[in-house]
Amino acid sequence: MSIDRRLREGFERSAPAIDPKDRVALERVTARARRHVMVRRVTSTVMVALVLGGAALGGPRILDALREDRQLEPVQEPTPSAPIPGDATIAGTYTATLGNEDPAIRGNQMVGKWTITFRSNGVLEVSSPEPFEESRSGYSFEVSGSQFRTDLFRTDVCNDKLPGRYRWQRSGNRLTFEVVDEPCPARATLFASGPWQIT
Amino acid sequence: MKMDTLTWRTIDPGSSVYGASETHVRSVDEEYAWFFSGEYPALVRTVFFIVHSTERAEDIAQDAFMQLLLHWQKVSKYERPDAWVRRVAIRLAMRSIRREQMRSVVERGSHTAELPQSIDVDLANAIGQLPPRQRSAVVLFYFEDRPMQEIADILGCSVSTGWVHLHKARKRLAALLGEEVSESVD
Repeated sequence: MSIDRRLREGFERSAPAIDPKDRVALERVTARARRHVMVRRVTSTVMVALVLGGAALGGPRILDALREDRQLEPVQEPTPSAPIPGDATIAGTYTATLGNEDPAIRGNQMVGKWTITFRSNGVLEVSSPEPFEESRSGYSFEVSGSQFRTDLFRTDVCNDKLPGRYRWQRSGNRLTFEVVDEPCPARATLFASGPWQIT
Repeated sequence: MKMDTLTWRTIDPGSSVYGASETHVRSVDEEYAWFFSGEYPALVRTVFFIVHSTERAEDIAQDAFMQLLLHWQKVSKYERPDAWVRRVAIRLAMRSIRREQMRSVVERGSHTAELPQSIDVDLANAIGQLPPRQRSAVVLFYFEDRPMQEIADILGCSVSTGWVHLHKARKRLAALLGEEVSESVD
């Protein structure tokens, strides 16, 4: 038998075995279509509600953001707060004369005229009165905004204590230091005994 | 017809469909119901010979007719609404076969559907070994007796490609069923 005849006869013989009930099916189809339309409507309603809700909630914020965008000038990046070695505004040579009222000054033989030079490269040089045996150079300082930090006397009278931190202010020819955190009393005495006068 | 303009209308007690206008609804619904009763059983049979499951065939045919119902006002004006619903159903059937094949691969076994009695089981099993498009071409050509132009349209391919599907299917089926195959189609 040819395949064409076999196929036609096979289909013809088999077809009556498939007997769907079209009445029930029509009801199912209409019910499905109804559900489909309802789902589409509900979905559309939900989407519209979400969009409107989102607009109501986020709208004012978006408008504010847009308004701010127009009004604000471009903001410069904040300057890094890392310490700057040396500083042009503090650079210079200053003198201060320490009296003998303070026992710490007397005990450390610090009475007399002191000269400190802050170089712009962060190097600190100290010229002490004659009785004070420890005049030196080669110490360092750092300035960050109003903060000042130095390791002056670290290897001698300060016995390797941590650097001291001060708040500094320069006004005209006067330079003053206020102790923030200072583990070395001798250094605190020297810096806080100002004001230092620029020379 | 746009979905947002649709309204549901009763066509008879316990059943309802929609139409776009009040005056049109009754005639549209009756026309659809008449079309449905004439085409649905034939479409289920056609789909059955492709998917080999009565349940899936009915499900697919109902999906296709639901699509037709949703687009009835437009499609009813076409020259061949039956070709439209067939195209939808055949595509759904081919998708269903691919899904079933994937499932068989994943589950490492083939699902043998329970065939109704008095079905030509050898023929059904042989057709079941063809790819979806070849199955569809065979069923539309030999069972529905449709011209190749229409088959190609339903399958979404050119006429020559439709013939290629059919010839490949014939050769494979002839080998599987032990029948003769000639170059020309009878």
